[in-house]
Amino acid sequence: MTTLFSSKGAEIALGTQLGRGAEGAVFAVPHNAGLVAKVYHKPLDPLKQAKLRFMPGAGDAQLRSYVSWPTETLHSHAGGPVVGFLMPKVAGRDPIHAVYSPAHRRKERPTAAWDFLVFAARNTACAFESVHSNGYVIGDVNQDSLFVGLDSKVILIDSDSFQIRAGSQVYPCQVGVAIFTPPELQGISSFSSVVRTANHDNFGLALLIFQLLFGGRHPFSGVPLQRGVGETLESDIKALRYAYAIDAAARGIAPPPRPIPMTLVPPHLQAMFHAAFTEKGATGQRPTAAQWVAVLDALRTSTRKCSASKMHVIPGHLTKCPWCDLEAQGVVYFVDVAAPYMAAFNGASFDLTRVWARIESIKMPPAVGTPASTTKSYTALPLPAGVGSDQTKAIFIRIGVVLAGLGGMAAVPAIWFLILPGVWWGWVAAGEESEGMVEERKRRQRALDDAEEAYKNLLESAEKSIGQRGFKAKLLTLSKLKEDYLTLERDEEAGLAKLEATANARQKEKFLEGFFIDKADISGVGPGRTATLRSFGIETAADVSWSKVSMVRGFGDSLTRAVVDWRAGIERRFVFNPSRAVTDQEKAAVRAKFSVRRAEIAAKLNAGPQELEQYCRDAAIKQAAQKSVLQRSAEAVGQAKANMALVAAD
Amino acid sequence: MTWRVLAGSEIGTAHIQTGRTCEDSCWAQVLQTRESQPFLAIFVADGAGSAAHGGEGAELAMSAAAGFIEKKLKHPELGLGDELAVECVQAVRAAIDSAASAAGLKPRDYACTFLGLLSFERGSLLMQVGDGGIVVDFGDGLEVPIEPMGGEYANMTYFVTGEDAIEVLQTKSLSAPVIRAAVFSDGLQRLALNMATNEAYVPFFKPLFTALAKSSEKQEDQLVAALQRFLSSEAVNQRTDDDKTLVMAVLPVASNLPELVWNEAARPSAPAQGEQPPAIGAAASETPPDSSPEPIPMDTPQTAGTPQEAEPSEELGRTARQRLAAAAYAKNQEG
Repeated sequence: MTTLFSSKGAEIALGTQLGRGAEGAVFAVPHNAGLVAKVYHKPLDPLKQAKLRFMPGAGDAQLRSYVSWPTETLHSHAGGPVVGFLMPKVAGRDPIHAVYSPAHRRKERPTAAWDFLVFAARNTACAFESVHSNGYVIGDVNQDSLFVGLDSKVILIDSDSFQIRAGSQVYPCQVGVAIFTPPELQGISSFSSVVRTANHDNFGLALLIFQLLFGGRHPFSGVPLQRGVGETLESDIKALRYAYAIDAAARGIAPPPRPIPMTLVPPHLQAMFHAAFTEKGATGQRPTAAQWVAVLDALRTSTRKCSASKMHVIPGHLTKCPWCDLEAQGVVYFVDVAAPYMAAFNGASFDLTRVWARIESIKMPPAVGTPASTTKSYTALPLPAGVGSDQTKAIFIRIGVVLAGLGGMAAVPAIWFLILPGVWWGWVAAGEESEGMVEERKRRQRALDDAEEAYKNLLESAEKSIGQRGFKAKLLTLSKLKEDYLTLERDEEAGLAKLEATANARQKEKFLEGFFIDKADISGVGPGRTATLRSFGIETAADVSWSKVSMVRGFGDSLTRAVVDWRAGIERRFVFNPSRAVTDQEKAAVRAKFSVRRAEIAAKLNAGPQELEQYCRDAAIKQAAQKSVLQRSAEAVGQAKANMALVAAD
Repeated sequence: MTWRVLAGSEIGTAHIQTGRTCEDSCWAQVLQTRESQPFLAIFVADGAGSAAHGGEGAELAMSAAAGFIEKKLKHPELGLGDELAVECVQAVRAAIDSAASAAGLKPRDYACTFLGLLSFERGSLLMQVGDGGIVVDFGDGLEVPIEPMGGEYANMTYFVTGEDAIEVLQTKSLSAPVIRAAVFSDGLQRLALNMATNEAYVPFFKPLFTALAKSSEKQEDQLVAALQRFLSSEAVNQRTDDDKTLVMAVLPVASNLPELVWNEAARPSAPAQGEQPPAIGAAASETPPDSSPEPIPMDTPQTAGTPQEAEPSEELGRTARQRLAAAAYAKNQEG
């Protein structure tokens, strides 16, 4: 066991090695479980030693709550050169990339929704602010800079690489990760001589916040619209090709397909991202960590949950759920895995055959029926005064006309051709009715029509509501429900059968989902290309196919082959396990899908007999009540008919 | 002492006639593990005649596979399993890919098959993409663990450069070292295997293995020359006009090796249309070999005082044979 000495000369025994990096290794410290020791592989130059000697006494309490900060230097012998340092142990947390990666999050934090990510983003900004407020700069912001707890709290690590200002002395940060490096520092040969600023850090901060809020997508990864765009993330960062910018097209780039829309955040946040990633930011005016804290605090308190799923968290400025919209496009970010399945409808308690037999046993109510043919005689309404019946008068006139004609013929037979038309005219004119009579007949006809119509309607509505037609309609509805129930039963069986048929494919998919590109060793695919693939929704072996990968700009045949071969190699290791071909949970999920609807239908069918019986009872009572109404209506028709008969044209 | 290895590629008559070069390539070495155990590595590739740079592809495959396994041997953990074969094939594909893109060509322009055999004390791994064959003996006689690989159609084969090579790749891993092994290209497939039953044709291999086992290191040059003569002999050329490659390895001390027993039932099917393996070395006769002692195929270097091969009086049972194989390996390690 190696023993080192603290700056105060105390012996510090090192425990097991917890990790090993390019610069040094991290060991457990048996005498203090809350601490770890970082020991460098190589002797440190005097500047770095001075930096580490300075750090334990520097920084405020706020800083220490957000940063794993050196507490004491370590020496190979008391008073010797600095070989390492002690710092608080960071445990039970994941690197930030495992939080903004949708695939990792689904697997490792299945219950974390977008609000969790807003909290993590807010805390990340806080951590940056705690460094900046002390006058320090993180410098090497990257996907592993921060570790996020299940409570969304974050801890910054690798503080020994921070740029530390001690009075006039600046201890530099000499490292950086290209895909987190701001455009103004892209392509420089060495970080050693660069004085880093908070504005540089704020590029990395905006990038981390963007990736947290927008499904892990790198803001500079998109679909190229011009030649030379999209080759590497570094070149796109340098050329300020922010793929989600309002003016992205002018920058030669478009977002990858089916992105989370920028409107997910309020306009002032969109403007902050724009400032951080484009010209304004590159000239020193990126939003500060403190500004991010303020807007993210406002955002996190504005959220509400969607009625469709408690995993759908909607920011306050939106009225429609953005996650429902994305799901309609087939893009699923937040799945409610913990959602209790609707208590599966228990088909056993429902016996369709029995219920249907009962339904069919119910007798139809009697037809509403026409009132017994009435023996009642109707007295026609007399004609109004002045509209007499001129029948007798007309007969007398006609007789007169005929007699006159005959007389004329006998007297002057030669003019018979004059006399005959005269007689005909006289005959017709005598029968001509008065205008009053015509009007009266029309009136009476209308009254008869109305009475008949009213009677018909009354009869019809009675048939519908208390007669046989209403009963038949109810029966038809029930029989349709019965059909639906049987169809659902068949669909459910088909769904369960499909589970069996697709078991191999689903098991393989699950298996492949466990292999992450960011953890794989694929030649040519480093953090930059991993971020690019993630921006196109490719994170695990399950997402990989030749067509999907080759459409990502920068992935030519060789890289695509490397990624596809990686998947093919993993696929070979998959062995189908028939014993868990279809899990109970999967079956329950299928049943749950149908059980709600089946339960609904079963309830309606169960209520069917009662409903029909009730109808029959109601029919009996209401038909009796309706009888007199119908009788009156029928009599009204009889009266109208009698009235009409009086004026009937012959 | 360790495996005696012999390798050779000879151009086919069809390639000579059309002015092409030999597009087969092979690589065979006995390397060492980190624990200084001998580690046998054999690779064979057959450049596709249909590809403009098939021969180059075969050479690239050999150097990539050799580089891969040499690098792997430096790692502390070495498991001879499917994953290693996949990585090896991925390394070959990556090498061909980068050569192709440097030349402005496609990987398919470098199409070639790929066969490999790795073996050491604790295990063996066979891998194969495309035509050709791997014959091994773990003590139970000659076996062909990987079935000959035809393409979807009769005259089609798979190549390591194909999009689906990783899927097509066949591997076999066993927990014992090989005591005899032969890896050969497509050109020799019909001579070395009974295609109908997928069994090794013992009369073809027996004299070769016997000669190699009896030879000493000093005779290596003679052996190579003999193999070259054999591969370009009239008898072989009558059977194939393709390039032919044969790599053999055997743990020496012939007397300790289990005798290879020719099983009459394994005889290649009826000698129809000249499909019968030739009786190498004997007068180029079309008569099928019989079970009588096989003619010696190569002008075997004579070693002074080589003891007469002691024929076992009776066929050894499988377990006894396996014991013998293990003993042979152990003895080699001591030596």
